[in-house]
Amino acid sequence: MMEKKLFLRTKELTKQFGEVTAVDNVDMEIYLGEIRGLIGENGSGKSTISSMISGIYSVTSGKMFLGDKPYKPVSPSDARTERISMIVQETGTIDHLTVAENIFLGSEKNFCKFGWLDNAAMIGEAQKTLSAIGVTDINAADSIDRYNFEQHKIVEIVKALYCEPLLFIVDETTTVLSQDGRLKIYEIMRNLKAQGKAVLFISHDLQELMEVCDCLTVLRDGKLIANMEKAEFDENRIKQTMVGRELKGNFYRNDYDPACRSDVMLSLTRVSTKLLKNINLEVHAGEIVGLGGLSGSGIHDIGKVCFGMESVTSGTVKARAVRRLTVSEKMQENLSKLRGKPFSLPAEMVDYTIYSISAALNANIGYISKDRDKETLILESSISDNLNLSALERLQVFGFIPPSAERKFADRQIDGLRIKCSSRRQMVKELSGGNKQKISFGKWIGNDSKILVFDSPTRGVDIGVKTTMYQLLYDLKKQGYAIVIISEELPELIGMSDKICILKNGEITKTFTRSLDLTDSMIIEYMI
Amino acid sequence: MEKFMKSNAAVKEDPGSVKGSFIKTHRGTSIQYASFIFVIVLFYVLTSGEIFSVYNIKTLVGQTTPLIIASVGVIFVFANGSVDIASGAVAGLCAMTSALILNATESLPLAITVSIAISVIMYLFSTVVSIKFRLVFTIASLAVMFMARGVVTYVCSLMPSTIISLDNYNIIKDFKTNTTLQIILMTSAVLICWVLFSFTKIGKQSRAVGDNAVSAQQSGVKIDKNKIICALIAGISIGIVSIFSLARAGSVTKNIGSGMEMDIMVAMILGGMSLSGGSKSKFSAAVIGPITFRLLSNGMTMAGVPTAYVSLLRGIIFLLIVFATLQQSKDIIEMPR
Repeated sequence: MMEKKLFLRTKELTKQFGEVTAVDNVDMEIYLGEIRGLIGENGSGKSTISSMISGIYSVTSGKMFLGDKPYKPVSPSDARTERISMIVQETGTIDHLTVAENIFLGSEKNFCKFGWLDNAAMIGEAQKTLSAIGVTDINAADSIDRYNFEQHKIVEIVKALYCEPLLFIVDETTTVLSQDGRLKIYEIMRNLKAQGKAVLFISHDLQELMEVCDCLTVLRDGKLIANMEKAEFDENRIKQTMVGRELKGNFYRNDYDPACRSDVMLSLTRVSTKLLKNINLEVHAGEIVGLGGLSGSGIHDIGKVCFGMESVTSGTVKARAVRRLTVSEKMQENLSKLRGKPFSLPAEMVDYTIYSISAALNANIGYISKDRDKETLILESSISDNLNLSALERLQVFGFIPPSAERKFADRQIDGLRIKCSSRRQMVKELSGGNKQKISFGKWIGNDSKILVFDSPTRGVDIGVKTTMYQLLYDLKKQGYAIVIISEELPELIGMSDKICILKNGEITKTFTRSLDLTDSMIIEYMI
Repeated sequence: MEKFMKSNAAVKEDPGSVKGSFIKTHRGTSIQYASFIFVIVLFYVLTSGEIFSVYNIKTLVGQTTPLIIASVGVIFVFANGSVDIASGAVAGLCAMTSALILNATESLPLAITVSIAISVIMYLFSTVVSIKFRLVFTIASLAVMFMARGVVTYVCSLMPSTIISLDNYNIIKDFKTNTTLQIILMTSAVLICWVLFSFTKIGKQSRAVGDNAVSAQQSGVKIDKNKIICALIAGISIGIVSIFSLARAGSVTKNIGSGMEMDIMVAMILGGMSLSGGSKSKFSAAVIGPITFRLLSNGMTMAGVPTAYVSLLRGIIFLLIVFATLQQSKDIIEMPR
């Protein structure tokens, strides 16, 4: 066999996001004339590595070399200059532009004559490039808006190929493509390989990787675990390598009792949305329900549906909570607040139908978004304001919010959750990831929410804070809260949930009950 | 001062904070008070104390009152991130209507009520339009500005020598000359709006919306409702201010009230307000700012700066302050995907 030529090498490549290490001292080699697969669980660092290679992320420490010369991309265009191009998970096209304009975005100069853009030439060239890879159903002069998501991807691929890349990175693109699209992209990869180019292929689909790739690199928790040649490919072994992690100490809860109270707090009955299909789910008081699946499986959508943010096309979402106070009860509540006396809420519970955020709030549902910094917290604002925002209704006395009540409320959450800060007036953006997350928890816990929906509650926090979060979730469970955890990390779900529902393509494929014997490998086959 | 010391100590305790972050986090406050004191000292010296003569103080109160009342109302709209530019035109329209009503009925309460009603309607209109059509508020506000100004210009053009003169100026004379009435109205407006802004859901939620509408919504803020309430408050205050404008001018020409929107903006920025809204919106900006602003104009005139230069100098000072408050490019934090 011919000796392969080394194209790119990383040395002790490391990437940190705040205090979290996403990629940890990775030494990797990419050769010309091969298709290398990159596999690992969610959060294992696959996308981060490829984003560093293509100049999207900066490198925290470590080096990259192209052959022998050091390679330090600052932006994706640096990578393009070195003929490295990447197709990302999300859409990379720009709406309202034409197909040709999208393909030649940033390289319009090639079609300029005395400062004027020769549109016809650009469209012609785009059409030629499209047909070169066998695409006939896209017209380069059309606006990109006319085409569907899959065709957008094709346009991106054409764009990425136009610079004749030596290294072509495909980041989880195939999950969104139909069978035809997939076959097309396999063909493109094989062609590139035949031309002596390098391909880095990231996918969740093990079958696909084993079929297409010449070798595989397995990542786990940001570390490079194994390199395998095609001859060594073995499905079970790869899976083992992917998930086989050691659990140290008392990380998760250590009981294996899935028992909970009998009252259903949150129920989804035959719920369908654009993505979800016929979801049935019940969450009881004192129960932690884990939702697991890959990123496009619909787990995050269930969370949004529970909080009334995403409307359902059919089916109902119901939540149980204390009935609304009557006008006279409200008066009494205000008066007792004024006198500093406790006011006991009525014990009567009713079912609320969740169709909007305000309905969800009436039913005392708390929700933490996956994108905590953008959707749950107000970074520019103080800790106190953040904690109070969702509780204003409860803090006000006859319409006014006494500063003392605000102060008390914020201090109680800061003490209770041991939020590390200099004062409640500190800006949230100055806090660490873990403390930020504690604030999102505090917002809802203080707000008498009895139903908590947490999307990726431990995303972006380090092990230490994770342990605290798990302890907190367990305490909440014991206090009778109904909790939904949405997570892409299987060990977390296995470690914490009483019931795990696994989703794939918008459907619940399997439900597991908490037990000592439950392992990642039993679950993973229902996800992929 | 105590507040300053405390937060200063807090910054020191925090190991993560960078050097100089005190000035950074308190830039608004520093500019607010620094420019206030600077203007006072500067013109005290330049006019050898004359700027604080009893007569001039009365003049200053008369000039400042409408601007403060307008600012404390409009700050709610600014806090939720909407930049309002229609206030001058709306005040003009209201003043014109008041003049017509006063000439017809001589009833001041009726004139005030109708003014407030019209102003509220205009503000609600721009808010509802911006919500319904997902339009930037400023654009809706611009449309309202043209409409209101257009009506005033048209109605004035129908009048002999394009002026609506008041038949009985004495009814509203007090708004121009009675310092006690001015102080009472100003103080009540400040107090009411301060309580609404600082101690009720309205103010707190509007700042949250200005900072991050998505988070605010997910925390239970009804964004549209909040915006409408804010517009309502702004509308009421501009309605009241229109009576002051009418009293000052004594008659209605097509230019009545024009430039007020800019005065409000400049005054609030001078007061340390962030025009992008959010938690950086400080209520004190709507009070300190107008005072600084009026001192600046009034002081320049008293110090003998030729009127021809006043606007130019004001523009330069304004630019300097905007540069000083401009937010530096935000630190971009990379987040794992």
